[in-house]
Amino acid sequence: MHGRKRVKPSAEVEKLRKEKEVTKIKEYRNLVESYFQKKDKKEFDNDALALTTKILSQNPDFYSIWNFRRLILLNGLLKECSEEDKQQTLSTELVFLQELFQLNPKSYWIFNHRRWCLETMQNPDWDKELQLVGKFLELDARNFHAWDYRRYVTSKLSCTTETSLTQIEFDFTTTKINQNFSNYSAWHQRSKLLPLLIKEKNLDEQEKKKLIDKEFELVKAAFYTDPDDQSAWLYHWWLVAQGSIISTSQMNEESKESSNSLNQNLSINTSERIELLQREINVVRELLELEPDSKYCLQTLANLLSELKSNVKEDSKKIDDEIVTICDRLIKIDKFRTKRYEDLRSKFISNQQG
Amino acid sequence: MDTSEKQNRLLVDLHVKYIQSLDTKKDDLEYWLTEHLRLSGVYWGLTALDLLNSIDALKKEDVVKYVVSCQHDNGGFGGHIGHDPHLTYTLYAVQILVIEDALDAVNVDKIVEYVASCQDRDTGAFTGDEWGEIDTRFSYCALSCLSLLKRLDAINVPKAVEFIMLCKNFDGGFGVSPGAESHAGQIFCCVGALAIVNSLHLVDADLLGWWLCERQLKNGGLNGRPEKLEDVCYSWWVLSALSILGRLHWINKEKLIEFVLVAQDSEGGGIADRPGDMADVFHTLFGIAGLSLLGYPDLKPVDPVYCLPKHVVQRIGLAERYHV
Ligand SMILES: [Zn+2]
Repeated sequence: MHGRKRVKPSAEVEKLRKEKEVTKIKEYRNLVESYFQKKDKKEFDNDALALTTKILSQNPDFYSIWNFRRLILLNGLLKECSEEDKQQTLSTELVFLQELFQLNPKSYWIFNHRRWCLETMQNPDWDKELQLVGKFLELDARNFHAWDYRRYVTSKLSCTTETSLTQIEFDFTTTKINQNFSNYSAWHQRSKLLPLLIKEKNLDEQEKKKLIDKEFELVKAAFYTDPDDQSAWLYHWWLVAQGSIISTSQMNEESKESSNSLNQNLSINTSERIELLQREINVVRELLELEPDSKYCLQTLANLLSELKSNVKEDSKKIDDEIVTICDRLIKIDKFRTKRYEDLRSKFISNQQG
Repeated sequence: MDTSEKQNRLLVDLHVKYIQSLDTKKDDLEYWLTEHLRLSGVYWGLTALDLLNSIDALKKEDVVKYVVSCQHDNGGFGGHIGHDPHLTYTLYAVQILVIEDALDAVNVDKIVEYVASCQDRDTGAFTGDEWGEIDTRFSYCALSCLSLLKRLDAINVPKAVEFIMLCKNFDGGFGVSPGAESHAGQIFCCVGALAIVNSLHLVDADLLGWWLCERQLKNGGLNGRPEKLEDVCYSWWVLSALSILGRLHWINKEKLIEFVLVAQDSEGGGIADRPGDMADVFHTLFGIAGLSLLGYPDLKPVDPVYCLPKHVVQRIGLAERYHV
C-alpha cells in the first residue's frame, strides 16, 4: 500500500498481465484452499509446514498462516523430540525468517515469529541476534522494528548473562549519532538509556555533572551542524528539563515523566538551575548570530527564557518582551505554524498587561 | 478539464465508484494476496462512503452479513471468513456494525469477553491475539471497541492507562511498547485511548503538539516521524491527535488540503499515499477523513477519537472528547 508508483499500462499490456496472472491466482488460491483443509483436519505434518512456507514466502502478511505454522511446529516437529532436534528445527526456522527479512525488513509478523522461535528454544543465541539486528540498522538506521528488536534482544541478553548492557547500548547510540546527527531513533534511545546509566553506575554528584555536561557538548555539536533538524533540539530541551533532577537526586522513572516532580526539585537547587539555563541561553544566542533564521534555535531560546523567568524574580518584563519579539520573528519565518507562535505569544502578552 | 484542474477539488463521484469497484477486481493477484485485509477494507470503504454522503453505495444487508461471517466462536473477528481472530479486526467489525446500526446481528457479550481476554492482568497491556504480541495499537482497539459497546467495565481501565503511560517518550509522544520510539500512528492510538477514558490530562499537549505540527513538510504533506517522507495516512494520524489536543490550527490547513487532493487518482478514483502512487482504500479513507477534520466542504464531520462519522458517535450517545 506504500510507495507503489501509479502506472497506466496500455490495454494490450494490461491484457497480457491479466492472462499471466490467471495461472498465478489459480496456484495461490489452491495453496490457500489446502491450508483451510489441513487446518480443519488438524494435519500438523511436514506437508503442512511446506505449504505454509510457500504461502508465507509469497505473502508474509497473511497472519493466520503464521499462527498455523506455530501450531504445526508445536503439535508436530517439536512434539516428543529431543532437545537437540528441537534446537535444530527452530534454527532452521530462523534461517527461513532471515530469507524473508531480505524482502520484508518491516514486517511485524516476521519479527513476531522470530521472537516466538527464540523463546521456544532452549538455547537461543542472543549474541547472534544482536549482530543480526546491528546489520539491519546498518542498512536502515531508522527502521523502528529493528530498534525495537534490538531493545528486546539486549534485555534478553542482559537477563541470561546477568550483566548490564546499558553502557554498551549507550555507546551504540553515540556511534549512530556520530554517523548522522539526524538519527532521531538514536536520540530517542539515548533518552531512555541516560537515566538508566546514571542509576546503574551510582555516580556521585561530580561524575553526574560531568556526564551531563558531555551530553550538552554532544547535542550542541549536533545542532550546530544542522540547526534545521528537530532531533537534537528536542533532546536538548529534554536534557535541560532533566538537569535539575539529575543534579539534585537520583533520577527515577517517575521524575523523568512528570513535570510536577521537576518543579518540586527546583526549589532545592535553584542557583544551579539558573546557572545551567544561562549557560544554555548563551550557547543558543551564539548560534543565533550565525543562523538568525533558524526557527528551532529561536524556539529553544524562547523555551529557555520562559524557564528562566520562572526561576528568577527580576527581569520578568524584559524576558516577556524578548519572547514576544521571538514569536513575532517566528511568525514571519515559519508560515505553516503561525498560529502556534501566536498562541505562545499570547501567554506573554497577557503577562505584560497583567 | 485537465488533470491539474480536476485535482483542485475532491472527486467525490470517482471515489464512490472506486470503493464500489474494490470487490470486482478478482482477476488481479493483488485481490487474493490482500484477503486478510478484507474486513478492514470494508471498514475503510464504508466510513469513507458515509463521510462522502454515499453510504448506500454498499448494501447494508451484504455488509452486515459479511461481518457476521468473520466472527469466531470465541467472540473475536478475523480479517476475512475463516481467518484467525484478532483484536484489530474485532474493532473494525464493531465499527462497521455501529455505522450500520446493526450490533444486534452479533453476540455482543461474546465480543466483550474476547476483548477482555486480551488484557494482561499484570501490566494492563493488550495482546493482539492468543499469541501474545503487545502493542499500544491493541490498547486503542480494546478501549475503542468496549467504549462503542458501552462495556468498559469489563476490563481494568486504570491498568490499561498505566501501560500506555509507560510508552510515553521524551518528545511527549508514544511508541508501540515501553522504550519504543514515538510514531504518529501510535500517538493517534495512545491519545485516542486516553481520550476515551478521560485521561488526556496525562498528555503534555504543548510538547506533543509541537512534535506533531513539525510533521508538516514544505509540500504541505505530513510525515509520521522526523526526517521521513510525507504520506496521506498521516494526515489522519497526526491531525486527529492534534484535533483531540485542541491544536489543529497549529498546521497549515490549506497546504495539507492541497497535498491530499493532488494524491487523488483523477482517472480511476481513490487516494494514494502520495502524489503519483497507486491509490488504495486505506489512504482513500484517511485522506477523506483528514479533509473532513480540516473542514473541507460537503463532507460529513468525522470524530477524531473513534475515526467514525460524528453523527454515528452522537447517535450512540458518546460525548465529544476534547482536550481541556
Ligand atoms: Zn500511508
